Amino acid sequence: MSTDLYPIALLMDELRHDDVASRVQSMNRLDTIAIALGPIRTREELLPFLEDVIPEDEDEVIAIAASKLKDFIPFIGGVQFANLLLPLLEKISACEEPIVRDNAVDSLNNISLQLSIDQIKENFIPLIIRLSKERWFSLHIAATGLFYTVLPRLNDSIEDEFNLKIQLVQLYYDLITDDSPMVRKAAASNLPKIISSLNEPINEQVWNLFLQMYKSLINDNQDSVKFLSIDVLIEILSYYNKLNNSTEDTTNTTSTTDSINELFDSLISIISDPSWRVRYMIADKFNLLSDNFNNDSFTLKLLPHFISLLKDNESEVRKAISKQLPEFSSKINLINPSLLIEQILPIVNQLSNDESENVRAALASKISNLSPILGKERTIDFLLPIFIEMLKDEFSDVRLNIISNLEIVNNVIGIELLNESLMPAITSLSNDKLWRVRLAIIEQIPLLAQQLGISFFDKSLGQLCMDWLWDPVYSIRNAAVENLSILCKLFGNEWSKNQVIDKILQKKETQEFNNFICRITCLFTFVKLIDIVNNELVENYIYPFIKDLINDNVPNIRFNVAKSMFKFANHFKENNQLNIINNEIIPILENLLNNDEDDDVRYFANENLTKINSL
Amino acid sequence: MDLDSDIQMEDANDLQQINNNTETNTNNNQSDEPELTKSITNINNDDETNTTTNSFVTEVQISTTNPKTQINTLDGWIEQLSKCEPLSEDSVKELCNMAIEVLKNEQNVQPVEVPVTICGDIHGQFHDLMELFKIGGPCPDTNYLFMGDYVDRGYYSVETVSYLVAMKVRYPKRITILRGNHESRQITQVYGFYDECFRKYGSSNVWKIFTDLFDYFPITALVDNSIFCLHGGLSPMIETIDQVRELNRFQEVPHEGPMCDLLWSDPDDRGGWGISPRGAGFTFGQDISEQFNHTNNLSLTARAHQLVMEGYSWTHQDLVVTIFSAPNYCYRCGNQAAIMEVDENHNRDFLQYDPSIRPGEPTVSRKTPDYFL
Amino acid sequence: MSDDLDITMSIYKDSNNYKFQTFFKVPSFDSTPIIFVAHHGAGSTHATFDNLSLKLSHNAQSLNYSSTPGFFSFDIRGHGMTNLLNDNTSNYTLSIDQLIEDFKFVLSHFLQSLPYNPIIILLGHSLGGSVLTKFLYNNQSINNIHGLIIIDTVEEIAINSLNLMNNYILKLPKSFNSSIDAINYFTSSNLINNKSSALLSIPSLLKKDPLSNNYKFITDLSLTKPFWFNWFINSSESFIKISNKFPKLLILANNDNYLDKFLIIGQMNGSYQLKIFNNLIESSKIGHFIHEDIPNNLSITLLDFIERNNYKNFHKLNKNNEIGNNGINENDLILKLNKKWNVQQ
Repeated sequence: MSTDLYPIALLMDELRHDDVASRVQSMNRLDTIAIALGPIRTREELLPFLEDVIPEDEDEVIAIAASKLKDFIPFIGGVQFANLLLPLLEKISACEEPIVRDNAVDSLNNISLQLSIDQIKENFIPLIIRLSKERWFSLHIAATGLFYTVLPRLNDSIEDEFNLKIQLVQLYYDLITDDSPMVRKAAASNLPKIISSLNEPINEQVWNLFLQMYKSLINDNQDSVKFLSIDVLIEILSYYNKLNNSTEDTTNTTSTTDSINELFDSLISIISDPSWRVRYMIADKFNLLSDNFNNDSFTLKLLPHFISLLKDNESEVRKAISKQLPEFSSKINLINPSLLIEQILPIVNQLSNDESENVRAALASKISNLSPILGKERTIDFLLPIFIEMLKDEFSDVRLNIISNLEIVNNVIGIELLNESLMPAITSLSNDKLWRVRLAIIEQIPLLAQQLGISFFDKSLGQLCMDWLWDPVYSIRNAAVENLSILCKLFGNEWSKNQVIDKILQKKETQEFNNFICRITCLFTFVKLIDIVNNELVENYIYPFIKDLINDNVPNIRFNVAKSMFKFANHFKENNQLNIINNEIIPILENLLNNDEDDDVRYFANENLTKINSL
Repeated sequence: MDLDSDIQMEDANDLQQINNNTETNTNNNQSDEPELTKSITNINNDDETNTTTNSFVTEVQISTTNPKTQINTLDGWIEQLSKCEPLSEDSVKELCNMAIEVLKNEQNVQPVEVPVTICGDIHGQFHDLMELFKIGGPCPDTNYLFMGDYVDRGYYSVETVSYLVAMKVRYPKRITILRGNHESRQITQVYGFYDECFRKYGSSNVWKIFTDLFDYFPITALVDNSIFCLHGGLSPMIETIDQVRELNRFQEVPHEGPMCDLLWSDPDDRGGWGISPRGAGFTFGQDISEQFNHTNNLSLTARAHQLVMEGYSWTHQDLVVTIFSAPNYCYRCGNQAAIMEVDENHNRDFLQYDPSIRPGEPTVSRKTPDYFL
Repeated sequence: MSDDLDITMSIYKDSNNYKFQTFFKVPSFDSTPIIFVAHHGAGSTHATFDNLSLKLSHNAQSLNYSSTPGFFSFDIRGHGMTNLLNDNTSNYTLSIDQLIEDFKFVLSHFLQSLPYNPIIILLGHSLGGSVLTKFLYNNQSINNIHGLIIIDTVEEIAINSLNLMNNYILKLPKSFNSSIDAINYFTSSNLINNKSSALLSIPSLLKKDPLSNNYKFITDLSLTKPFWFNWFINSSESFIKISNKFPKLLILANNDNYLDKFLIIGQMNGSYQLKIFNNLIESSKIGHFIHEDIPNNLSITLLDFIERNNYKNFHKLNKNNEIGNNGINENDLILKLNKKWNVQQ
């Protein structure tokens, strides 16, 4: 068959193609080619060819090969041949490009899970040992990723396997204390995975090596290594906790307690580390750490550190710890509610004015969760004033986060009360001297409307939403138009008719309608509603209102009427009312085009006429 | 010319980008594609091209022969300028040629209808001009009357004056732009516009094109036969508005005489006419304003030219109003800005505003000399 | 006739027996004489104005003005010949109040010595500008003063640059082998960009040390450091708050961006005239000593300024020595215009 020869020849050609993109493409078809070749030729021709060609190729081509090899065992004739894949992947894992190396390590782990214990012992462990002992840092990094699939395979009660295990863990200790910080970093980040891969109880000799590794990490002089010790600590603690839950052995528990006390002291020793990354890591994992140091005395000892992290100099740390606020506060509250009030809440108040907008936004996303912990009265006393301040925040995410979580507060204090306490703030902000503050409030109204529901909304905010239409600043009027259109969509046609359309129609009867800005704002509001309310409202109220403005004295009104005619035409076409388009809209525009004295009115009449004709 | 002296960091980058761009421009000019469709696609693709090439002066192909094309071209320019990106030198030239056609037919006392929003000095504070439109509403939906001083002092005189001129050409009936004392060859050489053009375009050509155009700007406007608008103030040589109509305004702002006075004078607490401490124009007292408004049947004289901390200020018992629309003038004066809306019933509303919020606002860094005692 | 010969030197002695060396170049005049009264900056002497004064006389004549202004200057306390006249040459009580007091004394003594009632135009450079501004701000009732001109006095810039002054003083050579060496030092370090001015001004800064035969500075600027800050503080606000009845002119070298907040507001309100020399070809050669760097251009600016504001007594004559180079006498015109507009004066 020609297909027998074709793929390998083609692949060889394509893999030698000058163009990287073609090489990438052909490498992506590697599995298809292997299937076509069959297991024998894959083993005997494809693999040696790849070993030959791959190490010299571009990283992006190698990366694909590395990940394709992950599922190659069936193509080479089954797991008994799996060791044939190892040399190629070993070569690839020497690559310095992290993506390539990670793909190779990933594939190696996938293969190792399928290997027999003998293959592990004969082929895979020697590979790990070679990588770990080779004097090249990127090989060491690759090695750190391979232990967690192998160690659980070794049985403590079989002597040679146990010895191999001890040898590997000691080798890992060497990697944890490697000269290169990059290796130490890789080893540190893989260590939690290794610990959790082992079933309890872990042999004491092995476990002591892990504890030594942790000690080495928290004393590392590189903060990028040191901060990874926090994850290791969490893994160690959760091992102890699992152990405690599964055993009643008191002696064991006592020694565990000593170890936990020691570990707690080690955490305290780095909780105010000069490096902000370390502090950030602790802040970010604070609740996880506190969960694992699971008793009241630890929790109380952590409180002053929690507070100092809330006051940290580095905004990233404050941001991370802010997110931990409700959960830890809840723990403190269970032990002693007055500590929460006296020690934590004042800091929360400070954080609500933090100089970093990201810290404020993080706080805003979590602060509502303090409400169920504090209960109704304290929510009113402590939290609502902070909410009201944060509602005025210049950074929109802060306001958004507060408003998005009001429902939690609503559940605690009830909508009436929430409404009552927030409304004065919103009302006063809606009249703020700075138009950007007013704008900020308007932008949050649709969300608030959803949270409050229609009846509360109408009672407290309905009037405000109409008032904004008559603001002296254009941007506020424009936002008000936008806001009303969203509300109309939210609350439906009946609401739109009663709360918006009727009110605009009433406006028409007032003195203010003599003012150009009032008329053009009414016009803009109605134009916005054409696509939102039903045809009955458009045909009976909106369209006649705008049609009436066609003879307005101000050309700016007339050309905006002309612009709106295209939207009406579109609307009426969809509602099969072509008669209105032909008998009214087109003649109106033609009249403007031919008779209006203003250039711009004629221009927009013509432009919209053309658009309507092409409908 | 000492270009190194006071260039802001960002301007220094601009300068580099210009140099890169001059090459791109030459390439563009070689490819011979004046077709409209292409030019419009170019405009729409501005965002992408800018992010990839980081080009500073974007080339918008132009064709001004047919009116429809002209409008599309102008809309493209306006969109580009509204992002504070200056036009290419060729586009500026083309724009100013179109502007001359519009402005030369306007009158020395250009009639303006109500409703209109009246604005004072801008002085190259482009972002604050955009803020002005956020406050007063976008043009053409809102009609505007600007009373001069678009250039000098601020960092974006080129963008500011290009934008206003482009709007003027696109919507001649919706916006009126008067001449201020800074719209002059002599003043712009001292107060920054000349240097800015040189920095942004590598030569003084654009400065020349604009200052030649300034000669066509109308010098006063009359809103609904009732509000007399001009940059500076009254002139002792001008008793009636008809006398303004008789002036030949198509020239550089003279050092003296009625045209100079209209662009330079200030109202004063002292009565009568006085020598202006500025070195040009006159000061005029309330008695003068009373006579002038009475003789010409005016309700108000609106002018700009003086920095007023609240953005607007009444003088001469509400016969004269000063409007200043450059907030925190020169990025250091801490003043508010204002505009005046006049509705169709001649009701007047003042809108005050603060500097626009923008990241990377140029900070005032000034070279300190070694020796200063 | 050489201009130099017109100069009258007198020593004024105040009530504490402190002696001031003064220099007066008399005006030529028909009606009311116009006299510049000048105050130099720290570290200078009266001679910093010598070249400007020459150019003023020269241009007043060659441009056919109706008269030639006089020029009065003096060496301020601790400076130049004044310092040498007094016993304790290291007495540097150069507080701003002392300097204003000194100027008040010198000016009143000068006015008393004149047989006529002149129009006085104050002219100050740098510290001198600040002294005159603060003096005038507190003495706005003195009748003879008809204008204030300050050269390169900007409060904010001055105060910001005070830090750099220490370096400047440290870098100054302690002595020179000759006056020519000193002149070369000042011109080659671009402090003064006009050699003919430096020839006049620099020698007056130096005295020959009898021991070493070297030339050393008469004034030790470093001793004045305690007073620097107060010299300039509030000068800009005072400048714009001086009544508009005194025409004011601020002269800057080449960048209006030097103006501080008060000066910008004042300029935008039209409370003074601003002259910037940045559109001259040689603008890069204009430094802090504008009057030494471009005395000719500056003198024309000063003559324009007094013509505009004191037209009756000072104006260009046309070829027939008649009033008005362009037929307009602004003062008369204003009277006429006010009459035409029926203004009640």
